[in-house]
Amino acid sequence: MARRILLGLLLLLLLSSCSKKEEIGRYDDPGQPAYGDTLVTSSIGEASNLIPLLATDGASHDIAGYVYNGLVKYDKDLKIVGDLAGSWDFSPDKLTITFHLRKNVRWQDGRPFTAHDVLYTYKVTIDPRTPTAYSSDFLMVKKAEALDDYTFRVTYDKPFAPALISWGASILPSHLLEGKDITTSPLTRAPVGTGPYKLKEWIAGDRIVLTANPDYFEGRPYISRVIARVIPDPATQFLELKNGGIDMAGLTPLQFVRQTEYPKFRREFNKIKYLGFNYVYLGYNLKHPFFRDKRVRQALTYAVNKQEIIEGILLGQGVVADGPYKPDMWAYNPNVRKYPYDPKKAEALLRDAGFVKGADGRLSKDGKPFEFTIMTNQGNDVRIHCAELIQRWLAALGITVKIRVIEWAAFVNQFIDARKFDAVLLAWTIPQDPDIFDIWHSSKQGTKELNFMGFENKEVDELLVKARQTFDQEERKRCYWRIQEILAEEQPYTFLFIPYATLAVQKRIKGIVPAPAGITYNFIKWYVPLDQQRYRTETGNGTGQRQDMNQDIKR
Amino acid sequence: MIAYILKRLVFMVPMLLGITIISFVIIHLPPGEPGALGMEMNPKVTKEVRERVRAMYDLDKPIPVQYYLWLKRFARLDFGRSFSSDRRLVIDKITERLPITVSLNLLALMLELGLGIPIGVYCAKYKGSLLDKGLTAFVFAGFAIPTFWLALLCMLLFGVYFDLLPITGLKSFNYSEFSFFGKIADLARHLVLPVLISAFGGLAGMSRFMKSSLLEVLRQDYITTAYAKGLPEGMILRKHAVRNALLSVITLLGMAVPGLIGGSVIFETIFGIPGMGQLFYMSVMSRDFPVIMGILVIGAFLTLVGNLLADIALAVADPRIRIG
Repeated sequence: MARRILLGLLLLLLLSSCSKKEEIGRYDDPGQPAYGDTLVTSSIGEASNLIPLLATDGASHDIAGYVYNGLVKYDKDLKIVGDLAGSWDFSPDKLTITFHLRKNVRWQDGRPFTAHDVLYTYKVTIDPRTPTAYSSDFLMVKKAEALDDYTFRVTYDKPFAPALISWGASILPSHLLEGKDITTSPLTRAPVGTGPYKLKEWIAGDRIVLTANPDYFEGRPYISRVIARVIPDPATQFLELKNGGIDMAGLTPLQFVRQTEYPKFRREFNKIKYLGFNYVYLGYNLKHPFFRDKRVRQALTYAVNKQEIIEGILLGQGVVADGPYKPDMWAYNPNVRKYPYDPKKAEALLRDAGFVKGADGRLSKDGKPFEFTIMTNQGNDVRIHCAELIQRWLAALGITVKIRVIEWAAFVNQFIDARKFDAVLLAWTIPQDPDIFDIWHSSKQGTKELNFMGFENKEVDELLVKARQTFDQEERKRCYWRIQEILAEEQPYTFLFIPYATLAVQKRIKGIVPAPAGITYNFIKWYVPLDQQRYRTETGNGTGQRQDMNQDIKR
Repeated sequence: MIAYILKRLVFMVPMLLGITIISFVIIHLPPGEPGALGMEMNPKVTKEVRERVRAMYDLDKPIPVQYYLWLKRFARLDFGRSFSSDRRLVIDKITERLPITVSLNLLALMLELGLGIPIGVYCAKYKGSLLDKGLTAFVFAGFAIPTFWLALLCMLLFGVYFDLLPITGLKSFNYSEFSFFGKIADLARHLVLPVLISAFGGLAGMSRFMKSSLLEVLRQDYITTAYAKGLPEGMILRKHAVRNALLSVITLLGMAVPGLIGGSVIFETIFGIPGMGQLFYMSVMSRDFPVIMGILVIGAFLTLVGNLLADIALAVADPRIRIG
């Protein structure tokens, strides 16, 4: 009996704290911008180090991005604009950049921001004792000096186009770090930046809480609090999103197209997509006897139905790639040679290249059958499915394709680095600055270097160097357009597709405008109208706050 | 007795050393190196940077030298700093997660005992009845259903459809603003699913063990004597049978002690609970050698201590072991 009463009490406790149903259309009113509320995000991994110089993981950089600023940044159309630097000018020979820093900026502990902080950041980055992955751009600097508190000047040996954006690196507070060992600094766990948010609380393995910086130099952000939760399991993350426990999360194509198509989700969330900053490709080992022939590579590209990959695997959430840039960048050349799906042309090209079809329908050349292995990394189903489709199309031509899926570290160390592969199915990040020297220049073929396909083209080499030594965008554009023409002709990769970044954001959050740069470029302008706010925050303005106790207890 | 304990303690040293050598070699076998993993395929990372980072972690030295360096630190009970870019002390990383895993596992274990023992008793008492069969099916279902699948289904049902329980984590965001009872209610609501589901999986072992040892006891002559004396059945069970049967369950408990610190990876990952299992999994995936070694050594040490305690307990209970 006692047990039954206890059970009843427990049930009552649970039921009493469950939330009421949301009214229909509650979030449709755009309302007025207001301070307050909380945005809850989540990531699969936990941030490791909040000094961005020392971190290589995305989770750390995501958090640090709220806390720190660089001298310059990309705006929504990927143009470089001032951040901590109000303006800058080049010397006539383009070897010197002088940054004029903003004067009204303060560190989150109240100390003023000056050129000495910039100089310190430069020095600590190139210090050989600093374990950072980001020193290479700064190592090209010949001289860096702080002319006065608000003027910073750098000089290079030769003009270097990506130099300007390299100063978008997070500037660190010299007054807290100078003369100390940066790797054991308390700032790795409790950052002090100049940015729109400051760290309030970090519960290891669980969440990081950021609160708005009311003195931010671009104005106080509307959203008062950002909570980044760690939810390691993607399925759980999706459940939490549906349940309202997180406000913003990436979706897989299947989730985006099918699993979120029901009335309650549509009522509660906006689904947003923009072109992602990466492309997936099938890369050929150009030292392989068959792949050395351009006609073979072109034939394989003709044999691949990129559109069907997008429809079938990405459920339409991507666009065809025909070069290393995405269509909304200035460097993208739309007029390169295209390879629409055409098995007949593929067959003809292979015949020209000397392949003959045997009695069993399989292609061979000089008695050697056309067989090769596509390798890809474990844990990425999209890539594995792509390889399977390609296997089918090539089998129709008489080419035998095997697929090998290998764990990432083993894949890179034992196959990529050792050049032991025929073809790989991988992806590259599309950089915001179009410099792709490291992937395509013929000098970048050493161990651990990225031109592991062995691509060598004299004209591309020259153009790559020329493009990084000029600051004139039209000139650079001409170089990159020509490079894309050559790549399209040579087909060292079969460029497959650029996926859309697909995500859902809770509807009460307004002010999100997708652009080529993504969505978070105007984060400080995102807001929740007062009557739609869900969480109380101590920095909110207190009046007219919706006191949704149920929601509060629930979260 | 003291000589016996001392002997056992001395034998633990080479055992622990052997465990560390095997662990150290095994974790260095798979390809991929810490630090380098985050830098793989990153155009901005030059060869010099890579070399510098390797040297910083002593990865450029041969494995025996690396082991010697680790052992030297370990001898001073220093587990070193994590290879992950946070560079935190391994011991800090472990101690901030240990209480979470231990208390969760303790709760689940208590629930397992609280439910498993009565189930075992009922099954033994009504052996072959419909109740016995039903309960047996129930506990074996718990044993057989993959936990991660059941967990996801329960989250979907209670979290999303009925909206009764929070899905992940241990505390709400505004936990600190709650009253004392609010805090307890909040924690309880978060703990319901993880504790229930993890206990469900362990019910089978506990209840079957209880049932079989109780059946064993019930066959003894003194039980027949008790019946012959005309004692009521409830009293026979409570006073004579169950108490004796419980002894063997306590041995089972002793063996469960090391399991208390090893969290379940899948479980903690699904429920987003920042415990030991997650820490271990993440450090393996990022080849964070010092953290892996730290957890392995602490785990091995506790297992050895657990075995020792169990043996001592048995020795106290059973003179044949103590003397022989």
